[in-house]
Amino acid sequence: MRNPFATAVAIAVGLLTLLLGYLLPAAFTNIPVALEIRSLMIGWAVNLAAIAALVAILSLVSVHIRKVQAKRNADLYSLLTLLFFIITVIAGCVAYGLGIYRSEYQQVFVIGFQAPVEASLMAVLSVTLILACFRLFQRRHGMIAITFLLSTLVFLLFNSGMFSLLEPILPPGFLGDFLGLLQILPLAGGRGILLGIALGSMLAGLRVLFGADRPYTG
Amino acid sequence: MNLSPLILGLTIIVVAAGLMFIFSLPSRSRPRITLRPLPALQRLRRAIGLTVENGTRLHVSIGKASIVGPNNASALIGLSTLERVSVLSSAADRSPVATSGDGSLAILSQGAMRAAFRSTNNLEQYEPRQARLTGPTPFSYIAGTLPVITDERVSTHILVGNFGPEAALLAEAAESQGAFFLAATDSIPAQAALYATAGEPLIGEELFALPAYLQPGGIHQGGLRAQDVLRWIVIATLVIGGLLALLGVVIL
Repeated sequence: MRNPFATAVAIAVGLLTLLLGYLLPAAFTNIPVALEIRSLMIGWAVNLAAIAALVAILSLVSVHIRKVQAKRNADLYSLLTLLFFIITVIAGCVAYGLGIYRSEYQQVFVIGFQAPVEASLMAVLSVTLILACFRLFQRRHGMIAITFLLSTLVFLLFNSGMFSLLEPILPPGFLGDFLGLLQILPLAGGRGILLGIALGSMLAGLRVLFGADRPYTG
Repeated sequence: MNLSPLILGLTIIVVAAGLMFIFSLPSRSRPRITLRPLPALQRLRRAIGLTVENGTRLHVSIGKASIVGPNNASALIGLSTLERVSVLSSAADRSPVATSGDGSLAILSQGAMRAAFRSTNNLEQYEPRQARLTGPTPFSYIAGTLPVITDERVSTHILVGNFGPEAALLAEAAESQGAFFLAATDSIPAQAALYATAGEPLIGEELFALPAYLQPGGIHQGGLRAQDVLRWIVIATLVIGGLLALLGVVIL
């Protein structure tokens, strides 16, 4: 049996936040008590999320310690991860103690280390996607795959700007109108998908509000 | 103050809740709900069965959406899927592994796995480290998840939640291991990247159908049917609104 108290609290808080935060007009939600309740609950949520992040990071560290200590196939990459984790934590504490501004600290650790590594992963990703496009027909057949590949090629060409070379030989304004018309297609498709996702999100939220999905009562 | 958006929002929520409730009620007069066959999900069930049989592991990655952020619905679906998949694979020798890119989501994924093990009277097999945060930023999350694909004897991967296009790296890694890979996300760029790279991609709102397909009966299938009805209402509203706009009639 799942914890009925946690379920009751979650449903009550969910309904209260929904009503105070979104659905009741400002005339009702501008009452000082209502404002206080809303900001208190949002504050709790933010604090809990921060504590959860800390707990999860400690759990991540314990996973890597275990991998390093494994008797068979000890993971050296985990050792590196732990090493750089410790360096980053110490550097953060020292920077804070010395009064170094957050932006300067970020300059060194985020822009100096993290950004180049992520940029190289991005480069790997672009090569991966190009190869995946070539292999698409091995994996998938039918009209959707053909449309996907054709639209990828067409929009790559259009966005490259090479069609501006044709501008002198075309009637004035034709190219802009034509490209504008084509740009509407992905926008329309994207909005259609987003509408479906919005409906699905609403129903997923309602299921939690009704207590049918309870991801909090482990 | 303009009340019409508030009233409209409240009406949509009340109608959605009412439809979900009505469709969830058992009724003899109403025909039994039959879900549209999604081949990817049929293959997922088979892959879970094979994973249990051959003693390998299941991996569920539930994305990087914060539970207090605007994309949290996909995270909720990921948690629901994780719990159901953990129940389905409870007979396996190796417990599933869950990865996520957000701290609060990692804690909730531990709860979801614990609930699944408890419901199958298998709580002694529950290991909190099997549900872990692999990185707090989008790329570190992907980089931290890659070793799970290569090192932990996983034969079935399920990505459900909010991802960026970088999730394609996971799809490629899984393919190189010959593993089953199902991906469902609410992010449009990631859907495009995963369509090209993943073995079994789900498109659009198929992500939100996942719990209904894995968990037969009740409110999940009722919700799916309510979603279908609401979709038709939205389509009709868009078409009628477009026609009225063409005729020069402005309502809102």
